Amino acid sequence: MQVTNQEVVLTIRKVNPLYTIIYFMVPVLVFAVAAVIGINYDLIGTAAVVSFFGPVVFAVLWYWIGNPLLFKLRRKKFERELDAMGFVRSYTFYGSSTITVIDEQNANVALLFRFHPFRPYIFPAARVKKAWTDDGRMGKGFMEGSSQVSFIMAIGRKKIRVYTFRSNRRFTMNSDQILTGISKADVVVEILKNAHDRSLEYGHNEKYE
Amino acid sequence: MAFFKRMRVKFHDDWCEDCLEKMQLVKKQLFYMPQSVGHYIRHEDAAYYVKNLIPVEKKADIPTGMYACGMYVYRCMQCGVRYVKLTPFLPVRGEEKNELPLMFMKGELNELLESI
Repeated sequence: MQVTNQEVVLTIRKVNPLYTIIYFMVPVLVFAVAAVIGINYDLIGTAAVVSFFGPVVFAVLWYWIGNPLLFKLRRKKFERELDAMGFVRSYTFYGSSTITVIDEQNANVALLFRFHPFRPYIFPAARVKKAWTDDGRMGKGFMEGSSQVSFIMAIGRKKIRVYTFRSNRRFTMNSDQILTGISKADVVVEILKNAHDRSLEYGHNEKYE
Repeated sequence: MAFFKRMRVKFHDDWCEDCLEKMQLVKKQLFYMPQSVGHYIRHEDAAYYVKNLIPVEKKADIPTGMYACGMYVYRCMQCGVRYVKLTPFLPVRGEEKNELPLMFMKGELNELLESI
C-alpha cells in the first residue's frame, strides 16, 4: 500500500477536545443531576441511597473501564482497517495512550491516540523527521535514575511522545525496568529510521504541511 | 572441611558437585537468541537452545531489542565431568539485563558444543 502525499492529514492532534470534555464531564453531569433530584424531591430510603451511590459507581466505572474499553475496541477496529487497506503491520507498539504501527515494507506509519480514538493517522514514514529515545535520566550521583522512558517522534512541528515505561518510583539507570524501556524505545526508533529512509527512496515528501 | 566445601558448591555454579573442587573454564561463547524485548520466555529444555542459538563474535552483532546468551563450559580436572552454564541477557547500550541462568550437567548441549 502506498500512502500518497495528497492523502496525508494536515495536522496531527493527539487530543480531541470535544471527546475529552465529554469523557471528563459526563460523570460530573450525572452527579449534578442526582444532586438536583435529591434536593428537589427530598429522597429517602432506597431512592436516596441510589441517588447518592449511583453516580459514584457510574463515575468509577466510566473513568476506570469506559475509556480503556473504548480505546481497546477502537484499537481492534483500527487494526482491521489497516489490514483492509493493505497496511503491512510489521511492528506495533501498544503504548498506554498511543498505538504506533509501522509498515516497514511500504514505509508508512499509523497512529491512534487514546483521547482521539475516532481519528487514526496514516502517513509516509518520511514525515517523521526525527525519532529518538528519551531515557528520562534525572538526578546526580546516587540519586541518578529515571521514572519514565519514552520514544519521541518529530512530525512537522509536533512531537509525539510514547512511553515505553512509566512509574511513580524512580529506578536506577541500570535497573531491569529502565533497561527494558530503553530497549523497547530503541527498537521503535531504529524501525522508524529505517522506514524513514525507505520512504524517501519511494519519493515520499519529507515536508509536513 | 567437606561440609564447608559442600556449602561452597551450593553457592557456586563452577564447582564440581562430586569432587567438591573448582572447575576450569574451558570455553565460552556468545550466542544470538531469537527472543525480543518484552517477550522473553524461559526455556528449561536444552533442545530449544540447540535448535535456536546462533553463535556470534561480539555483543554488537546482536540486533537492537534482541536477546543474547552467553555460554560457559566448565570441566572438572579431577573427574572430567562437564557443566554448561547458559546466561540469557538483553544487551542495552552496553548494559545487560540478565535473566536467570541455566545449568546443564548431563551433556544435553553436546550437539551445540560440537557445532561451534
